[in-house]
Amino acid sequence: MIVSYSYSIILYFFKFFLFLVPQEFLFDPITKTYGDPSRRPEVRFGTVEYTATADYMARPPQPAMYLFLLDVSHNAIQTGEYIIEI
Amino acid sequence: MIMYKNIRFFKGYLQSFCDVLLESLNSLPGDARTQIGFITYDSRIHYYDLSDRQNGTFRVMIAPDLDSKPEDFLPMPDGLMVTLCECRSTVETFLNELPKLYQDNHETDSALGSALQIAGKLLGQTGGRVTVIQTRIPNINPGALNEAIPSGGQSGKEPTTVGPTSDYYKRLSLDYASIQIACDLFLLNSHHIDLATLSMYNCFRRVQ
Repeated sequence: MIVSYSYSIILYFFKFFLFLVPQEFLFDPITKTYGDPSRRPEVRFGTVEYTATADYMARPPQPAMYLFLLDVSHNAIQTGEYIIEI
Repeated sequence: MIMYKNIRFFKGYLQSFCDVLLESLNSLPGDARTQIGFITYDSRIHYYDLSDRQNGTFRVMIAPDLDSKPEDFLPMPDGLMVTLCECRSTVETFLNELPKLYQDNHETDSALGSALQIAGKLLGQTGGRVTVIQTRIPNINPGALNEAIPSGGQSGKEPTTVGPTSDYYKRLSLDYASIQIACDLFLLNSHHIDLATLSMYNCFRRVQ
């Protein structure tokens, strides 16, 4: 999920509301709307990923590498003997 | 009356691991550059060259003896890690064949320590994720652990200390962290496996 911030201020709301949270916190970057702070991604989701810019990188992003180390000793053949009936 | 359409017999985790991985190859996170590789081990280390795109076959290379320190070099510069979308058919063939290769394997030893060092060498340039599935206590150096359950001395009491007995896996883990390797450990043991020591292996990881 890519989260981007907009720092534009909607002055219209200032006429009617007293804000107790920072202005940016009312902006929902997914739907690009202002409103209820409980809609913000970090409030609603367990994990939020931020896009890291080049400043935060030691090197360009590397490919995803998956290496599987599998034990194939006699035990591996004996462990987990089971039958599935469908 | 219940009708069973399909009865499947599985023997060993290897079969189910390969089946599940085969099904979930599409859902592995990563872009088009995603690479995949396999190393298996008993008392020896088996490498797999999956880079043959023409025939869709793979080659097995076996490091016969661990006294010659197979962790110091790799048998081939590339081919052990292949780009998943380019060599998809080879990987699928491999996953179908792997359980059959070892169904009559009678080796009972496990050279986990060497295999982990080789994994570190293989992923040293890019970092990555190492998934280890282990079914017995590693008993071949480097990284051999004591197979006896530690007892509480002469009196036959319950074991008093449950702590790591070797810092081999801790050092390995710190090395991994410095070259951006994340590691997962899955244990399918039926006997004592010294979890306290083995778990040091992924205590110090730093996810990339």
